[in-house]
Amino acid sequence: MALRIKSAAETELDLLTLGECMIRLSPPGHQRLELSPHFEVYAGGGEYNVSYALARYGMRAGWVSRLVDNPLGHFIRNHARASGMDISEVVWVPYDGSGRNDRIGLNFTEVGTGVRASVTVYDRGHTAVAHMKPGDVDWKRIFQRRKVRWFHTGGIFTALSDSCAAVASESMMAAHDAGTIVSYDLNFRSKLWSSKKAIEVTRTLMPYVDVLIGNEEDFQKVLGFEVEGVEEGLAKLSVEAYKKMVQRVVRTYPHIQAVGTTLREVVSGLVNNWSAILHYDGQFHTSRVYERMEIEDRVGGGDGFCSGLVYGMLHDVGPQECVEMGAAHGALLQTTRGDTSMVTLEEIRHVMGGGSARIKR
Amino acid sequence: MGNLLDVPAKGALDLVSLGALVHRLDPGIIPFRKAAECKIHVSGGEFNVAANLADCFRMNTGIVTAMVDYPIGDLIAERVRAMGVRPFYKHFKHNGVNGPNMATVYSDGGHGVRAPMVFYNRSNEAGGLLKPGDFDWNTIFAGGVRWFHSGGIFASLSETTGELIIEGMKAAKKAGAIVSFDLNFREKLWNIWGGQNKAAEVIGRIVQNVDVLVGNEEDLQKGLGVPGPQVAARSKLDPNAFFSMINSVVARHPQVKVVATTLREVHSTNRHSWCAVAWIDGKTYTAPTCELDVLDRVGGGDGFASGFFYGLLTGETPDEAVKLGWAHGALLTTFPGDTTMATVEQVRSFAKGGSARIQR
Repeated sequence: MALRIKSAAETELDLLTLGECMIRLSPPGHQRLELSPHFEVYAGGGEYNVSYALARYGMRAGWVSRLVDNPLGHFIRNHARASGMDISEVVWVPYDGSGRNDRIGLNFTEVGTGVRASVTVYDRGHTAVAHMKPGDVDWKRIFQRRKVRWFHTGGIFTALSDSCAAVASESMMAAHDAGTIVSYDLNFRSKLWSSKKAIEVTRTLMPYVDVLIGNEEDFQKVLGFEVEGVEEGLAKLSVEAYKKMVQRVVRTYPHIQAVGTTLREVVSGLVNNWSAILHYDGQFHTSRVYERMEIEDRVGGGDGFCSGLVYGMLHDVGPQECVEMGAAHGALLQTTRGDTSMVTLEEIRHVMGGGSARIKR
Repeated sequence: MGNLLDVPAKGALDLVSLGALVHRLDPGIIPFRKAAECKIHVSGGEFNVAANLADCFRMNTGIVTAMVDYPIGDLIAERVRAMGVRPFYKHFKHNGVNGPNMATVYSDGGHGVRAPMVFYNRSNEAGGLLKPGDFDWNTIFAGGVRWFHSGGIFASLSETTGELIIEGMKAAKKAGAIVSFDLNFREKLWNIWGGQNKAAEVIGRIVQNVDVLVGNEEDLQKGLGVPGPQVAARSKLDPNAFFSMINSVVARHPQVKVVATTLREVHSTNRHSWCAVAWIDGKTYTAPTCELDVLDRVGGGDGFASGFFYGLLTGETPDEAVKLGWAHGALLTTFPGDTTMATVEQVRSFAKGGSARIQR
C-alpha cells in the first residue's frame, strides 16, 4: 500500500501545519542566558518550521495558529511571510495592553558547546495559541473547499492545553475525513506535560495518523513503546533495537503507512552522530549516517528531518530518497543558528548524495 | 476628493509598482573607505512605495520587476515577501561571474557636518534589461488594480525601461487605474547613457500618461525640462517657488491633476526641517513644518509618496492626504533602512500632532 496523496491540481495547498510559533531569544555565541547583555531574535516552532521549509522550496505551504495583534505577533507574521507561506488561516486576537489574556510565547535558548548542553527556558504560559479551542477554525472549509494535500501537526501543539489537544483531534479528524494525508511528529516536551498524560492523549489521536514521526525517545515517552537495550542517556543507539520498536508500532497501528525516526547520538554538545530510518510499506530504509557531525545549533533538526521527508513524499521520489532528503535537510539545518531552514534544495541533493563540504567557487 | 481622481473603489491590488529592486549596503556612520561591516537593506524607489503601503498601511500591493536567481536575489525576494508585497518577476539566471546582477547601492549615513554619500554598482543590472513585452499586464491586472506607480530611477536605467513604464501605464489606464510617477531625477544614472536632454525627452513622454506627479523643483526642472521658478524662494521651505512652476507643468501636461513634493531644509545630516506640499486641481495644500532628528534619511521621499497615496486611495480630504504623507515620511527618517517600520496608527497620531512621549 502506498500513500494516496491528492494531486496538486485539485488542491489549493500542498501542506498545512497547525502549531505554535514562538519568538526565540539567544545570546550570541555560547554566552550564558543569565549574563548575556545581548540576545539575537529568531522565530520558530515545531510544526511551523515544517511549513517554513516547504514554503522556502516553493511549495504552497500554509500554517494555522493564533497570534496576538501586537509587534511581537507582527514579528512572527513578517518571519512567516518572508518564507512565502500562506498565513491567511491564522486567527488574530486583539492585544489587551498587558498580555493578561493572550501572549506570544517566548523561549530563551542558550547554545551549548563541549560538555555544556544547549538549554531552552520557556516563557510560554497564557499564550494566544494555548487558548485555541474547537470551533475557532473552520476546518471543513479548509479541507473540503480549499483542499489540502498534506496536514501536519504534532505533540508540542497537543501538549499546550487540553483545548489544544481537542483542536488537534478536531483538525486531524477533519483532514482524515477529507482524504488529506495526516502526519504527526510526537515531539515530547517534558516541560509541557508528563509522559503519562502524553501517552493517554496521543493514543486517542493515532486513528487519524498516516505518517508518524519521532526521535529516539519520543515513541517511549509519548506512545509508551519501550526500546530494548537502550541506556538512560541515549549515548549509543542500536538501530536494530529501534527497528524492532517500530515494528511493534506498526503492528499496534496497522493503518499507519510510514514511520520516520531520527537517531541522534550526542558525542558532545556540538558534535553528534545523526541518521534516520523510515519504515514504509513493510520495509526499512536507512539514511546515510552523518558521523561526528559538527553542529552550530541543534534546535529544529528534527523538524528539518520531517520537512525533508514530507517534501520527498509530496514529490513521490520513493522511500529511500525520502529518508535521505529528511536526514540531509535535518543535518544542514543544524549548521545554522535559529530553528528554521536556511538551506537550499541544491545543498540537500548535494549532501544526501554524499557530497563533500569542499568550497564551491 | 474621490471624484477628482476617480480612484476605482475595488481591485485585487490597491497599487502596483514598476521598478528595479536593489540591495543597499550601509556601513552606518563609517565611510566606505574605512568600513569593515555593512548592513544590507532591500530597496528601490518604486518598490518602497509598494512596501510601505503593504506593511504600514495594510494595503494589497504588487511589484513588477526583474529577479536574478542567485543568493543576492534570494535575499531580496525574501525581504519583498516579508513586507507583504506580491511579486511579479521576470527571472534571470546569473552566469556566476558578471551577471545579470541585482544592483548594489553603496550608501553611508554621514554624520553631523559630513553629508551621506551614495554611489552605485549597476553594471549589467537585470532591471535595466527589462523591456516592453516582458510582462503580461492583462494577467497582472486581472483581479482589478486601483493605482499604478513608477518612477524616474527606473526610467533612467536603460533605453528600454522608460518604454516599459509607458507600456505599463497605458495598460494600467486601460484597466482603470490612477497612474502616478515620482520624478526622482538622478543625474549620475542619466549621464552614463542619455544625458539631460534624453532624460527630459523620455520623462516628457512618460508624464503624458500620468495623473499624479511627485517631484521637487529640481526634479521638475532637470527631469521634466520645465523652466526654473518664477519666484525666488525665501528659504528651502517656502513652497511658492515650487507652486510657481506648476502652471508650466500643467500647460505641457494638462491631464496631470496632482503635483506633490516634500520640502526639506538640511541643517546637518541629522537635523532637517520637513514640510510637504501638494497642488491638487488648482488648489494648494501645505503640511505643517516640523524639525526632524534624522536617523537615516534614505526613503523619506518614498515615505511621503506612500502616505499621500494612501490618503488618496482611502478617500481622505486633500489636506489630510498631504499630512499623512508628511507624517509617514517624517517617521521613516527615524528607522534604519529604506522601507517603513511604522504602523498606520503611529502615522495618524503624528499627522494629528502627536508627541514623541513614550507610550506605555
